[in-house]
Amino acid sequence: MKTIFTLTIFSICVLLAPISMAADPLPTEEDYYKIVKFEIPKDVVLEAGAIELTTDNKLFVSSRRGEIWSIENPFAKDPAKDAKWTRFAHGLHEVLGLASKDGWIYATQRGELTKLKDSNGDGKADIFQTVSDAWEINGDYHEYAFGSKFDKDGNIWIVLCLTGSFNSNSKYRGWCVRVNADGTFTPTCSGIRSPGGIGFNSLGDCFYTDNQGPWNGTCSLKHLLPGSFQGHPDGNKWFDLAKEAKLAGPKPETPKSGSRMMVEAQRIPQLMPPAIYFPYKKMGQSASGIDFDKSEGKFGPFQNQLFVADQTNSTIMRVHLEKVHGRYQGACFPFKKGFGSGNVPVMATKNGHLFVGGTNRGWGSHGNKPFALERLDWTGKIPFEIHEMHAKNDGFEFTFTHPIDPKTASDIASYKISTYCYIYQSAYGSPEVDFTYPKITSAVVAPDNKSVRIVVDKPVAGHIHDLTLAGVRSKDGLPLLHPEAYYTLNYIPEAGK
Amino acid sequence: MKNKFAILPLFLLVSFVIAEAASAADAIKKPIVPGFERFSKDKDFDQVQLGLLLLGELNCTSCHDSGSITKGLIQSKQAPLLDKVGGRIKPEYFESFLSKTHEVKPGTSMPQVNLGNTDQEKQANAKSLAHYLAQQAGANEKLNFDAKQVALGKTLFAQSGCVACHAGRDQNAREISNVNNSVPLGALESKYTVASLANFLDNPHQVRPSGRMPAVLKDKKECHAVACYLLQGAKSSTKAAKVLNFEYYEGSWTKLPDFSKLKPISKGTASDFDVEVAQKPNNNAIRFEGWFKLQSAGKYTFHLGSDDGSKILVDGKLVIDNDGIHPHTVVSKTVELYKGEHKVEVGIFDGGGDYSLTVEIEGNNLPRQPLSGICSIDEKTAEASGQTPKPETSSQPTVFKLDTDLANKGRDLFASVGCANCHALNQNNKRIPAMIKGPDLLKLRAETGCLSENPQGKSPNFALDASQKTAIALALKHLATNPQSPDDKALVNKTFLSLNCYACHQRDKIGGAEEIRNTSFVSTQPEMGDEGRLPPALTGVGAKLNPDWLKQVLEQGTKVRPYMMTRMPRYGSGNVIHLVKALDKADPIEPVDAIQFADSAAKVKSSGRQLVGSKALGCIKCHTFNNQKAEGIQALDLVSMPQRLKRDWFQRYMLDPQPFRPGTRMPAPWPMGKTFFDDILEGNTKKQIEGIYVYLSAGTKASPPEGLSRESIVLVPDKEPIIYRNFIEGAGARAIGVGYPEKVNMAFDANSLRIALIWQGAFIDAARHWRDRGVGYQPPLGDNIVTFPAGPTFATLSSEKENWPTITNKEQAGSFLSYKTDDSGRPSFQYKYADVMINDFSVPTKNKEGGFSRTLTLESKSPPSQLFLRAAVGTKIEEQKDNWFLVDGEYKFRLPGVKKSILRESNGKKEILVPITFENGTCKIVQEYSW
Repeated sequence: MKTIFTLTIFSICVLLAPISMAADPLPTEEDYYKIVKFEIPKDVVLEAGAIELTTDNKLFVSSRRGEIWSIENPFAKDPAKDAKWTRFAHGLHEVLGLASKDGWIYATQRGELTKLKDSNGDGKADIFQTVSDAWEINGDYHEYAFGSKFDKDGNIWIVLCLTGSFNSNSKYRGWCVRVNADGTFTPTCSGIRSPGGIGFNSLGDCFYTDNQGPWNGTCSLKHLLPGSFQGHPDGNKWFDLAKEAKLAGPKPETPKSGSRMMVEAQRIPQLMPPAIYFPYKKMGQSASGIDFDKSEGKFGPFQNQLFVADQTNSTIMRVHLEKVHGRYQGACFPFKKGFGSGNVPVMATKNGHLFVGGTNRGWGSHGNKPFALERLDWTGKIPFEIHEMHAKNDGFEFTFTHPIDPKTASDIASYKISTYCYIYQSAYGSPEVDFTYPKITSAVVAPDNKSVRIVVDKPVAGHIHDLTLAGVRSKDGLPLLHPEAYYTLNYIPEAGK
Repeated sequence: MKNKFAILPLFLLVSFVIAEAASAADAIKKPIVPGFERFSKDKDFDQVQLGLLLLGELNCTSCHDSGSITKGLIQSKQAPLLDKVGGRIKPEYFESFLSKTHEVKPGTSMPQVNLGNTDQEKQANAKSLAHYLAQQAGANEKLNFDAKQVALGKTLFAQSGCVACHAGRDQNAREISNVNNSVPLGALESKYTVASLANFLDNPHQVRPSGRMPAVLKDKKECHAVACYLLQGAKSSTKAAKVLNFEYYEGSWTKLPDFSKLKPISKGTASDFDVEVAQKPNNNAIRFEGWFKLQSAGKYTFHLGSDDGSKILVDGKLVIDNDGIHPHTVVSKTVELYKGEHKVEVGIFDGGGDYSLTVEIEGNNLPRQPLSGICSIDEKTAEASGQTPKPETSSQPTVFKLDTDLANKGRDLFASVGCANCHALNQNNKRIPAMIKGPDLLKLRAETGCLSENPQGKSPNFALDASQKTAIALALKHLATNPQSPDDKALVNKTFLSLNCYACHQRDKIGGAEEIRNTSFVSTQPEMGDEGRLPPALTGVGAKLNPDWLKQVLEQGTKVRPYMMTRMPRYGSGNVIHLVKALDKADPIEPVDAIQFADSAAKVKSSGRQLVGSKALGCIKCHTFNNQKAEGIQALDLVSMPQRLKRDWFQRYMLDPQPFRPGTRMPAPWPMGKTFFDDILEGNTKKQIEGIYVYLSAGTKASPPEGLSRESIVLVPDKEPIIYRNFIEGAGARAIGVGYPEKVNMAFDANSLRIALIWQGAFIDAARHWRDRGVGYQPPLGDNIVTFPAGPTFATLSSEKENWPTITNKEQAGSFLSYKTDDSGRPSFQYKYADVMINDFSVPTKNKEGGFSRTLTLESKSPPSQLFLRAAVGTKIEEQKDNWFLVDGEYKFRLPGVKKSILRESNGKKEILVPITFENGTCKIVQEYSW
């Protein structure tokens, strides 16, 4: 065994070398998307927790040290030079959510949702009004609270991390709650473990990321359907309380540890299987902030798709969702690496930029800066990528951002597939288990050379389908910028759909 | 069984049950060899190896000459050394153990020795041997049972590693019987005293040199605690514990009354379903209530006996109705119960005459026994309390009297019946020689001698079961082929089997924590997942660890993973030292070529240091460094790495950790072999890895990397106040700290709506919350910290005599609304209590002593009556000049403008209350503090 490892490691190194030395180098991520750095004022420790853009194009960034900074000119070509920084507020308790409405900034602190206002126009907040403190904290550092922007009904969605990320020792820990601007508090979903971010898709449905740990085999993106149970049972102890607060539906049964997610989801109707699993290490290790591309093409070809950050790997991942059997599922793809610190908040703007904030305090990251604020800009060139991935009854359909070379795309040797899932258990995390290696029996390229349909013998419901399209080339002979795709196949669509 | 019990008088039954319960695993007779028990069920496992394992564990070669059989094939377990055994083991134990070996110590590898031809002879010989062994006196230091040590003993037993091989105790201090593959401990209390058991635990190899029982405990104190835990079941301990709640009623009935409509005369706790708790002999009723836990689901029979009527309800459902006026009548009924906690309620009444109650349970491995024996007061006490039984000293006096004549007889028997074959016992510095010789090992045949159904004559009876006999037969057959000595891999496997290393460690897909024990492996850092809790897999460990380190681990144990509660125990050097060489050879690693650095040696070192630091790879974010804590999880100390790890392994592991430790959280610092740092050591991955290894090779002398120390972050208010919302010690989880440039500070508690602390000088050090993950509460940094007592600032009281309320949840305190900062950045707090809006604004006073002037402005459209402000609480409140009051000599306050205040005693303290009177819906109070 040992010799095999050795060979693999070194052969990879050897293989890499000639590629990078080739005369006509392959394009890299940098050719399509560029990271633009902000220069954070000296002596400011901006461990970014949340980002909000107000209607007057001011960027607000909150920090884990409790400050909120407002930044003018955030879209400047060189923000390191032209952005203007003002401290809007300080002294808050680890703000991991920012939203704005009617001249107020809404900040989700550990123990409450607070709205802030600069009433005398000196650029600094002077009113700090509690909107809701209906949940509780007890002094445990893990009891984080991540807040969303406003939804179309005027609610901020807040996901409340468990105590120590294992138990629920304070009220509503392990819950997603909604708070209206007037303070109306609605417990919404149970089963949260350790969120890293929260946001909406283009249809306004709310999602959050949860992290590998008990009852979470790996990090994932989960749909916060009101009334659903997201998988970690400890917070269910607040169910009676939540019922008083008008949460509909009965308390979910406690899942059986050591089972599989889809086995339990058959049994427990409220249990919401993750829409996307991010395979551990392969995609990331700490899924965090979420936003969707609302730029209508100004950010490249991925309109309405979700971008999800990873703190450990300092990356942004891309997610394409579809609904099968009435529930979201879909595929995730690598998108952009190389951010300065551990990515936590992200915010996509209508004019086609993606703001990314970072911190690696307490949790290390590939990006080695202790904190960072960056902006991802599209260069205008379209990368050759998988555009969308759809589950079919007997396989998958891929669409691409460029026309494909029908010869390589119809060759089944261009594709590699394996499937696996995770143990759904109370212990921390899970290895990948129940591996299958189905055969790809055909790959048929559409007449317009824009998509390919592969038939798989056979797909396994409840498994991640781990695909590599290493052999597929574009019409111009380019390999995919990211040939990997991981589809979370909770449900197999019926034939013909 | 049931019938037999039924005709026994009750008192006999009870005593029988207690004696039986002590050896819960009464079904086991065969010898329990954990490796065999676990792996013989696995069809793919090499059964020959398991047979050889048994030949060693049962010490067959002590009677059967192994002749030319190659060394290493059988690793024999030596029987306990019996010098001074009389000092270690209670004298009463010898006789019963010798005459009923398998019954008294279930699972023992000691065979039942044939002590004679008739029962009488056997009995007499057992007695003689017992006296002989008791004569081998030895001293024990004085160590008594200490109930306070039981809880610690329980934790140590559960977490340090004992449960890897043994089962723990249930809530009634009985050995849990359903944990598979456990080496039963049997009725320890009849064998050991606290002192002798503690002594044994401290150094098990002194009497059991073959290391099957390793030394896991750190010191005498831990040994004492575990001994107390294991021996807590001694004597009448369960009687002493209160396991039931009861309510006592009086009245005259002919049937059980409806308790829900009655008010009890008294309530209390009881140790049994016993009518003794009644305050008078007749015309009363008692309702008992408790919880019991079943280890398995199945059918259970309840036996309810009473004079007069009684009923029993389990989980709220009526199980037995034994109502009405009658003499003591037992009614039995069988019900299906699930595994886990059940609530039991028993009601009984007496209408006159005799009065009695018995409640028993039986079924599913539970012999018939009083139900109270497995009851506890509530669902949780069973786990949490660690009952406090009576100390052992209250037991009956020793009845054993040594008879030297018998002992002399025993000495002869010791050799003649075969004890001396296995057990070393020195007389006049010479081991008593064996007198029995069995056939040579290679001449043994299945189903004869020890292997026959009923061993006769001198053949001892090991009570082997069929699978054990089959495995032994296979092993004997294998030995007959004159096999070669095991290679290094096989030798490792053999040792792992006999020492049961597989109970904790996996190697080459064999072993690892069994599912039933898995949860016993715990970590101080649950976030590390299985890596932080389960002992590491040992696949390829010979390639990984330096032989010197491995030797140290094997001989002395190790604690390099301080977060892992399970310890690597000590097996005794002689039993494991061969593993150092065997593992090194069994797990070869291909060397990585030597590295030629362009840089100087000093530069290589400093580059390694740079890489480890927070501005490069940030290894110190997760790994401790020379005992200094990391920011996040506290993974293995970096400075221990080169001492532990082979350089070639380190080079390969750092490139890609996953293949070596599947599932590890250790990221690949050089993904795909590429570096993030082109300017360090020529941007060469191998050189960078080597640089780290070289740097860390200085061990504890390695100079600390950048970003290691947690420097303080003192918040200094300069022109404007600094606000700090965080976990502040004394002000709660929703504290709002305010530091003023005037060098006075306060912390407002937004949950209980009060100023919780005021202090002078430095404000606060934010490093605890801002340097790493932010664990815990931070106290104020300055001086003269005044902590105000808990409780709300305002309350409505029905009278001036009513105690000031205590707050149990934040809603009772009112609601926190907001704070606003003025032009100088000073916050005023707004909150609401009973329809009153309160504005609470403090400003530092300018006098030289320092202090605050606090203005409380109240507004209400419907002012409540009897609303009070509690201005001060103290043991001593003294009035001083200028209207100041001194509280406990600590701080002064005054209430300028307040016309009426009340000094009162409440809850044993002095309080000053200010009644609030509203004018036009408002009220304003100023309170000045100085200290």
